[in-house]
Amino acid sequence: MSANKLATPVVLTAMITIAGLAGLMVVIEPARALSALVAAAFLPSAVIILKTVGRFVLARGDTAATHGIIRASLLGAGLVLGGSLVTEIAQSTGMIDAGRWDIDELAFGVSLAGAMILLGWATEKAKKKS
Amino acid sequence: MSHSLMRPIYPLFVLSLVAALALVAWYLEPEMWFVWAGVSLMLPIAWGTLEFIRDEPSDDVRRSIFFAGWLLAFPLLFAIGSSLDLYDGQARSMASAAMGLFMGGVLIFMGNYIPKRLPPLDEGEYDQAKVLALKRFTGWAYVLAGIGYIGAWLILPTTPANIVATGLCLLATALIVGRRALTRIRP
Repeated sequence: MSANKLATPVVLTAMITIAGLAGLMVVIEPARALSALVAAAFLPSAVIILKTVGRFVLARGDTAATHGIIRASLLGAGLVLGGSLVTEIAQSTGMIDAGRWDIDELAFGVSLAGAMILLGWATEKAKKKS
Repeated sequence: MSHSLMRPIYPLFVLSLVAALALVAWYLEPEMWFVWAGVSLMLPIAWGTLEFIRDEPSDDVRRSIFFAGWLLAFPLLFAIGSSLDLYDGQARSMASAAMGLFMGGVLIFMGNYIPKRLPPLDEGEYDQAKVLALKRFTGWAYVLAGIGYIGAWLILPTTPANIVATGLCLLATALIVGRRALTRIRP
């Protein structure tokens, strides 16, 4: 799988956004720098791993639709990560009460819902292309 | 394999449920109106953009809206319960377990559904029996991982359940990647 099929402008934008949020997290709460670094490194690492493993896993005949589903999964994971970072930042800055676990769960649900919609849309596109 | 189009009443029902729960939450905590408004508008906007504006009914989009709606409805219920002071100290672990059980169900459904949706490879170029066997293996691996995921959240406390459930997903993925790497799908 070539990098240009994964690192599309949308995926790159997601990477930059997450890196920005992680940077903000480090500024607000330096003690959580390691978590922020892991979050920022997740999408680039996933692209590198998929580029390497994809050579063995994907067949040459795999269509753009399959790549679309993989991209949607990557973006979905990015959405969940970004959502978690936004929640953490909102709690650290006092915008949301840090003790409100229910809002934590709601933010997680919203991110997962977004990821699910992305995956549904990519699957629909895959069906059309097949 | 043919799939019938999901009737719009199902996602509409979940959307209405989310909107109703968001309204209750708004009534209980009006100062957080932006959270409740955002949550209740998210799905109608996504569904409207993906289906109605493009004027193309899509089974996959409807299914994803349906599941996404439940992902919002459960936490909204927790938020309402929290606003009403219904919970004791165990509430958070119960809420996490409920989300875990639901996610396990989603994993079972998606694991079974997505391999069937992947487009076929060229008939002459690839061994179709092996490709089909790989897709079946992928489906089974994720369905079993989903069952394990649910089992972990049913039996274990929050932290170990999270580790075991995530580990099962990673194990299923590693098994699929490993089997694919070891299978020659070209005749």
